[in-house]
Amino acid sequence: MSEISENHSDQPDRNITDQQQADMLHHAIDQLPPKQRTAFTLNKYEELPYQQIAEIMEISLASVESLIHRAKKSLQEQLLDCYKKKCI
Amino acid sequence: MKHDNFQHDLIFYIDNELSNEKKTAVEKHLEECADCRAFLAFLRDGIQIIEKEKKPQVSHFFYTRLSARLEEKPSFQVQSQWLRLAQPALFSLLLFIGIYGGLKIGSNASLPNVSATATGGIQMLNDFETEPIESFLLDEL
Repeated sequence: MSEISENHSDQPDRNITDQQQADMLHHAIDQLPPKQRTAFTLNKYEELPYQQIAEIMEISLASVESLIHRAKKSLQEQLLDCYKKKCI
Repeated sequence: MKHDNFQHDLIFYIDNELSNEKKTAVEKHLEECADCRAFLAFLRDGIQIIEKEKKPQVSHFFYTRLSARLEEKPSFQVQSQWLRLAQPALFSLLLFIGIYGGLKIGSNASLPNVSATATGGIQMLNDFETEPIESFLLDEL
């Protein structure tokens, strides 16, 4: 596993600055539907557990899990699209 | 499992949310697929931005400076407390001296002996009128 993750030699000659990556990620997060964005932000940036997010958003725990799962899937789609198009 | 399916699971692989069975399958595929490894690195770099933004970089001397400032604060408070008491007292004293001095000067100005001295001086000057300079010079001759 560590060998796989450390192996960056397979990367094409990408010299992406942090700022470009941040812009790409922020754009991807902005494209998420509002509920997914809120749940994802609370979980990833604020590090809140699912239960607390459910209380804040006044939804069930299962809904939070579903929102975050869909948010991740949607983010991955956007990043994959960006990767394929070599947008940065 | 198709190549595209593996790519769609990579974000969950990074977050360690895959079942053991799926995780093994993804790792096996990653060993064989250079494109998926490259995308995994790309995705990991993107997700790491969140971690970097969560922990903003602070100056290495920030905590040293902060603790130094906190240590300075009590002495400053004592000094400011002393100043808060001393300043009104000092201003009151200056005001009192000012009023007292003003009253003293005012009472001295109304005394008549000052005008008497001045009149004496005038009288002495007027002596020249009684003895003109011409007669004084003639006396010298």
